[in-house]
Amino acid sequence: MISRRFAIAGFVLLATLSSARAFAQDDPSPDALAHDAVEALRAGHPADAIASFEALADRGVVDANMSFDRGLAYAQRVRVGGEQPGDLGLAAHGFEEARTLTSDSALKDESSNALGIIRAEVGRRRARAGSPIDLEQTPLLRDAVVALVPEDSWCEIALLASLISAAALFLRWLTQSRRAQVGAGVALAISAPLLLASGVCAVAARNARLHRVEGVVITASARPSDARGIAIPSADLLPEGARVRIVGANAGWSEVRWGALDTWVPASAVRPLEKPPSD
Amino acid sequence: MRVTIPSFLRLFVAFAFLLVARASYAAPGDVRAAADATKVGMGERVQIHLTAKSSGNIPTEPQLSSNSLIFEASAPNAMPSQSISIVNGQMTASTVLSVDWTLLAKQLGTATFTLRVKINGTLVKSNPVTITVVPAGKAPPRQPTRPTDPFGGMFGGQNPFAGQPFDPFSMLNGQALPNDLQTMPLQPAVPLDPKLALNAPRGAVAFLHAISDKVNAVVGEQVTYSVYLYVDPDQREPDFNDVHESSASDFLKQNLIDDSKDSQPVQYASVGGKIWGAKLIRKWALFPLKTGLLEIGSMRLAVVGGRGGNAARTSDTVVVKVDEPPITGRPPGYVSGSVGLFTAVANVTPRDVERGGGISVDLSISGTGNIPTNVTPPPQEGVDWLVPEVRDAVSGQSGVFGGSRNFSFIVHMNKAGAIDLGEIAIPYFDPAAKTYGVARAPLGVVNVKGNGKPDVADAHDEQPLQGLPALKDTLAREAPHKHLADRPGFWALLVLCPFSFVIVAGGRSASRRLRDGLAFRRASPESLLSKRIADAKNAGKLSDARVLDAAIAKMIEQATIVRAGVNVRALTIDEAEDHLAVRGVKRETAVEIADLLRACDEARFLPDEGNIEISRERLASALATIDDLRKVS
Repeated sequence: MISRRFAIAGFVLLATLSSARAFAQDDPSPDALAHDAVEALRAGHPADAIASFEALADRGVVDANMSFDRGLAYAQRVRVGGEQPGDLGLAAHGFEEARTLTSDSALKDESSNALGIIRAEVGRRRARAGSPIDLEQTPLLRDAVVALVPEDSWCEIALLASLISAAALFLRWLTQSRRAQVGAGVALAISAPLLLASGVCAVAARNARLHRVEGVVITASARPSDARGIAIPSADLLPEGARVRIVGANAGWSEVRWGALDTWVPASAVRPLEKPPSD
Repeated sequence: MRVTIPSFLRLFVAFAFLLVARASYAAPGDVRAAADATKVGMGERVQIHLTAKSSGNIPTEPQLSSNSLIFEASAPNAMPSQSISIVNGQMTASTVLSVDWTLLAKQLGTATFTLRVKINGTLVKSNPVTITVVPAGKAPPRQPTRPTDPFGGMFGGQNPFAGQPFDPFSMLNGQALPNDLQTMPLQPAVPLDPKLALNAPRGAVAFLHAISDKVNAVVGEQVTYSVYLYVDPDQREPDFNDVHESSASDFLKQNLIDDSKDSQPVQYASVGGKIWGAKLIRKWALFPLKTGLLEIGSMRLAVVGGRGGNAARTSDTVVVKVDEPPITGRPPGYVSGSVGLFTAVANVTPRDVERGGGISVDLSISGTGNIPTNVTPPPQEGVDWLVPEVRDAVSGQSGVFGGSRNFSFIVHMNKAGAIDLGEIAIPYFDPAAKTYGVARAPLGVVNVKGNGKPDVADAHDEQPLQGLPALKDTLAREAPHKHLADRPGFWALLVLCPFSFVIVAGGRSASRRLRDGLAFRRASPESLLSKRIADAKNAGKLSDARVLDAAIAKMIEQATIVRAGVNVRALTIDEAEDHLAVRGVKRETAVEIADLLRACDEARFLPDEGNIEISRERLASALATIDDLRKVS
């Protein structure tokens, strides 16, 4: 009797394991997908590679290398003559995302180089079509100032300025020496504004990291429109591959900021960039 | 010629005449119907009678039909009979079928009944009978008539079984059925579609009603949307014009029926207890294009004529909640909206070609659902796929959209060798099985012969995007970066450094204020007296009599201030004595204080140093006097 029960239990366990294995085979792991994608790209089958890279992205895998390779896959499809509309924009998106996600300076440089090649091709095509070839816009002054140094550097500057301010205040209070008091006053006059400015920049940089949504234009015909979705007649098309800031969304439309230009484009024309994971 | 009729036959004929008396008003071959009341109260019963007369066989299959469900009818009570008449020596035989139904009024309203019976194989209709159901107690009283009782005459209008538990005659004529009569729902003349039943009409004469087969779907899944036009069959059919179609901008729309006027049969349905005709006028397969709550707008038309005059009718607005299919199990390359059940077959010809030549690839995708409208062939170097020619053979059959779509590609082979074209894979989501599948069409290998010229693909000068970096083999798996600004300690430190100065300086200032406060507290008269007493006691431990006497004097002065409210320093000693007495100090104590003060003054201003022992005695005496003062206060 007991052996029969063991047999039934074993059968159930085996069935469960085999179904779980079958399920796992149906739904490949991120590593398997990444491997398939890289192999397909290496074998010169960019369409298969793109399918696997996009499946990887659909599963929520955020990885700088995979974003970089996805950009390469789209670029390779353009190279081999199988270009689909939007491939250049999607390639630019992959490289921009890799540049955003990685902390590896070598990968950052490679991504920047690849991005330059993609944007050069977009520029060449726009020049051929008689469109403006400016693919990057000057950022707003406040954004440019905040972007001068990395967020952590702003934090370090603010911390240093804070320490100097405190030391100067104590010195000025405790010392009886006239020279020391003057020195402390000068240090305080410099460090206090620096503390304020760097603190504000640190907060702004943190807010930008946490709340700013950016994307890349992935169509060759992203026509700027007003809030009602009516195309602005005199406006030039947003260039494919341009990095834009997404400031709003409404019923299939995205409000984007490109340099000083605020406009609406179809949501499908802009693909948002993933953000680096943080603790 | 004289006809002789046997006596038993005479009796039979007479009996037969009596039997058919209730149907005497019916014309030969006629079918007539009547009700014993045209207006009945809710919950009451009413009888409806059918009399069918035939010159041939007995009429059969009596039927009761109505356009309403407001009554429940009992099983028919049929009574066939035969009559023979002889007129001018001509004998005519006829048969009569009398049928009664008892109807129970279940709802308010008006019902029209048409009774049918088969006579010699032909279905013959009676005149219509209309009965109105009014609220209970509102119906006019009914006359107790028995017009069709064939036995009325026989018993002189008296029923011998009246009042008995079993009254065969009342059962025959159906007028006094038992209360527990088993009724059954009235069977309408036409089959009703329960799916089209509605609680109430949405308009008089005609109205529109829209339904969808599902309210939850995934992007690309077929949602079958139907619009029915309901028409009241009791009204003259109106005309319809000014048709505005439903808007479904968030869907890909495919027609499932012919929209022309008479393409669909009329169905019948119960609407608020009454039978209406319902005609399917629109049936679409709608494929959602995006996620969200997608709205299918209402259809509108104008009803012209009929009882309601000219009026607009609008169908319901339908909302469908659309999601993406699940991520789990989604195959690579799945395109949103590729939903259905597909198979793919490809035919590649020829398999041998010269470099630069073209081959034909015919891809056929068949199945049901949202069959893809474009296919991305697998690009590779040296293989140039031209834009395909697409031929559709899709339609809606049995309410499901499907068929096949054929893509004919011309492919230029620009590289010599055995070129493996790979396969065309079309991932799809099967909503019925809720699983993903992949329709695969392997393309196989094409042998491309060289023609002595360099490969077109070798001409790299024209290739764009030169100089791209090498691909990365593995996932980067970078650890999440902890930013300084995300650490609460950083902000605490940033703020605390300058504020530490504020804290230290402020603390020092606060301690100074605390000290001053304590000093002020110490300066109160009571504490000063304690201090003076302590000072005097301390002076008593020394050997300086003058110092001790001075301390005693100060102690006594402070004691008079505290205990009696008299500042003796501002008075002469004699005055002090009087003031103390006025303030309630005993005269002896006041005198003692005056003596002590006087003695202290004298001792302090003696030319010699004085006697310390005497001063100590004076101290003891002064302390005792202060105690006496405490009792006074």
